[in-house]
Amino acid sequence: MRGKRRHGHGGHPDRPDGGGLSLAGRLGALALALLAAATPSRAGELVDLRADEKGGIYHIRLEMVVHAAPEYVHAALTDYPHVYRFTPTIVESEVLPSPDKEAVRVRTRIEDCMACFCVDLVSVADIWERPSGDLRVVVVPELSTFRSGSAEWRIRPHPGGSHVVYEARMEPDIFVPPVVGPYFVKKTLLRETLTAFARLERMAMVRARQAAPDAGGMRTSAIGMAPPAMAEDGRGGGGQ
Amino acid sequence: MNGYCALLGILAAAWMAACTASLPVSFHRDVVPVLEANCFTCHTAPEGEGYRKTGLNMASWETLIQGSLYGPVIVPGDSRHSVLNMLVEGRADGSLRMPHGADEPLSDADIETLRRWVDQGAKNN
Repeated sequence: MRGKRRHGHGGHPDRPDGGGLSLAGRLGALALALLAAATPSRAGELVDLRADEKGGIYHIRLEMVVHAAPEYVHAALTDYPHVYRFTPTIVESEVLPSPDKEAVRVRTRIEDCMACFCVDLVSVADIWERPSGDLRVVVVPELSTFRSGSAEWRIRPHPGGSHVVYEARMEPDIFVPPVVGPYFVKKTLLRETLTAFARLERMAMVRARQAAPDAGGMRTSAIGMAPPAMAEDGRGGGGQ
Repeated sequence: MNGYCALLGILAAAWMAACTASLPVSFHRDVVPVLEANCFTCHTAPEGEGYRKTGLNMASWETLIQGSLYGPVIVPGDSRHSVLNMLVEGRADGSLRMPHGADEPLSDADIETLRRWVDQGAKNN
């Protein structure tokens, strides 16, 4: 594993995107630092985060420790109607019938702008659950603005919570301006993944709290039942 | 002559539409009645079902802006990315369209009021 580091939200990696001292690397580190400043101290631990691009194909890897039991993390991840809770850039989402009885088909539309570069991406993906509870996601290219795409979620028990690994490969079928385009896409991916990480933990903790409202301990005490003042990124994404 | 009248009609309609779009939306005058008629039953503390499930209390501007257990539902200035607008406009999964249950969806006019209020900064005015 390249450049694996262990750090909490209080620190930040110097190679969040594998870019060394590149501008992208420094900005990725800045994004982590901003997240650290905006996230409650009891939040989970980010172990590894990186994004790479080669030939128009983007890879992203996230490894984290979430302060909630695996069943709650799994329940949050598989709450497909509420998929919009994961990232504020989702402007449309729905669960569709899948031709595969074993799969759930989820459609999302993402709109996001960074400087003068905007993306409008539609993803229709089939999601399978493995016997272990891990999730396998495969994009349906003919219904998406992706030439291809796939992802895996692995959830394992961890002292005090869950160890979660997310790995994805995405090949967007949109015009990406040369030179600066991939940098913006990578930066957006890092930011969105970090946001999803923070929100996954929040969702899992809410579920844990609702399942055992009288329970104390780390799994449920990091978030109270009072609504939070503002999200980690200051944008919408909670709600119903 | 008929063409001239039609052109005038189109210009008048466009002018009225532009005026309506730029009119400031008041939270207390315009938005609260919409929320009161469609959302308060479920989304007021402490007994509302929606409040108990999500923590979203719409009883005041402050609690509405505060959001739910999952985060804010309003992005001031950006209705496209606001969860409140997404849910009343039916842009999330159909099972989540607000208001829930047997209630009718919001009218186009009410949806537009909420959209303009959020786009204008979701002010407490």
